[in-house]
Amino acid sequence: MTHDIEIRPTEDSFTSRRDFLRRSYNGIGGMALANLLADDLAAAPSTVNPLAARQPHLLARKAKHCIFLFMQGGVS
Amino acid sequence: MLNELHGKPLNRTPDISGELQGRLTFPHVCIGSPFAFQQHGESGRYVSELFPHLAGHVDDLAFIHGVKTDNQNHGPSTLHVTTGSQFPGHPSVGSVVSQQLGPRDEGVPPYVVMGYPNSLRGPGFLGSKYTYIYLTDTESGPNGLRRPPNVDDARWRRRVQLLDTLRQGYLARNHGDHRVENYNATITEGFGMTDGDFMQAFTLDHEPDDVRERYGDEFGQRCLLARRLVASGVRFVEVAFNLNFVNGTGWDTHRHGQKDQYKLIQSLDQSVSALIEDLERNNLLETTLVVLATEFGRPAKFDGEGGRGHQSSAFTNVLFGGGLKTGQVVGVTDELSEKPVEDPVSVPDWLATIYSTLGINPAHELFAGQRPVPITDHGKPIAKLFS
Repeated sequence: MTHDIEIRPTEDSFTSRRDFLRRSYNGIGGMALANLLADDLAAAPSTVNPLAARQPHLLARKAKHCIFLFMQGGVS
Repeated sequence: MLNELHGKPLNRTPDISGELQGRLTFPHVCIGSPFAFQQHGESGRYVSELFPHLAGHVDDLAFIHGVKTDNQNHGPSTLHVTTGSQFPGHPSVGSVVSQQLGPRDEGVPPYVVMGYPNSLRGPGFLGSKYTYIYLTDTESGPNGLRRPPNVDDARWRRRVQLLDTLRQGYLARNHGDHRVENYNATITEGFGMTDGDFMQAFTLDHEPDDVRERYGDEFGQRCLLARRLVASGVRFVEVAFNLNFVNGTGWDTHRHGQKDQYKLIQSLDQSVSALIEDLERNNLLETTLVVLATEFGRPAKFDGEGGRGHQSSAFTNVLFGGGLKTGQVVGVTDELSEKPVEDPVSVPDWLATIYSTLGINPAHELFAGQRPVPITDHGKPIAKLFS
């Protein structure tokens, strides 16, 4: 009864138009996002390395002492 | 500006009716200053007539407008300004400086407070080794460091020996306990100070009479002592303005406190101008950063009884000395000084400016046990104050 085995396209093996659109939805969005981010990346300095040593902060290096006069109460 | 707006209704007039309306006399209008203002110095800064001495030094000062905290209450705001955090546990600026720089010379504490001890400053998670030595009386110095007059040398030695025996036993039994070891280090340093030259810093009567008189009242004498302590090698000296209130409220000028606020301002004018001149004369101004700080300001309107309430949304702190570029104003507030409109200075930025002036990296990580905690929370020093 081999003719009973009917080989026919199933929904799993072929993509319907509706399915195609649904699956592409994320992909196209992703491509658009990548494109948007690429613009931002191009605008940012290309030499930024997140692991690079931090820039030295501002240091006057002149002061060796501090006198801290605290006006407790709230001065105006 | 407030004088120009004097008597004008404020936009956000609260809708008050009934019994409250009778009690709140002034809150609807802007109240200017009763004192005259004039421009001074190259910076052309307006200064009140209550500051005749400081007016001559206005170019030596840097005014930081638009500092803000997030809390209208004294405690959390003070904690915020002195530690960078509204919650207890973070070390205050003096303890961080102590831990980072240590004392300049041996036999000298890194951190001295003139004022009553309280929970709003201290070493927090750094441990008691980085706490302060405090005094409330400028003449006698820190109480714990002076030998009582009725204890002679022999008796003193006997006491120290007995204490030493007890301490060694306790240390041996608690070997490895950081709290005990920290405490022991602090006590050992304390004994080192009683015997050395450090206590000489407290003999204010060694100063010429004209210098003492120039500094003025009790607060002035504490400023003079601060200069002597800095000269002797102390890194961080904190001076509380109010030990005992002259006007009944200190700077917290609610209600009747406002009426006599001018007495506090006159005291500040006299003492701080003397400090500038004296530091300069002793070649200490370039190497000593002086901070005039408060925990919040006060609004343009009066409270119910002719005083002023709290305003944490924008207030002014002042810096001078320390090699900073002074004669500048940082930040702009709106016309009623209620909020910053240009270059706002966060508390971390404000603290980062102090740390950077002292050569301490504000992003450096301290350790709360095993947990790294940066000295300031992303604080950036105010660039235009540094040359």
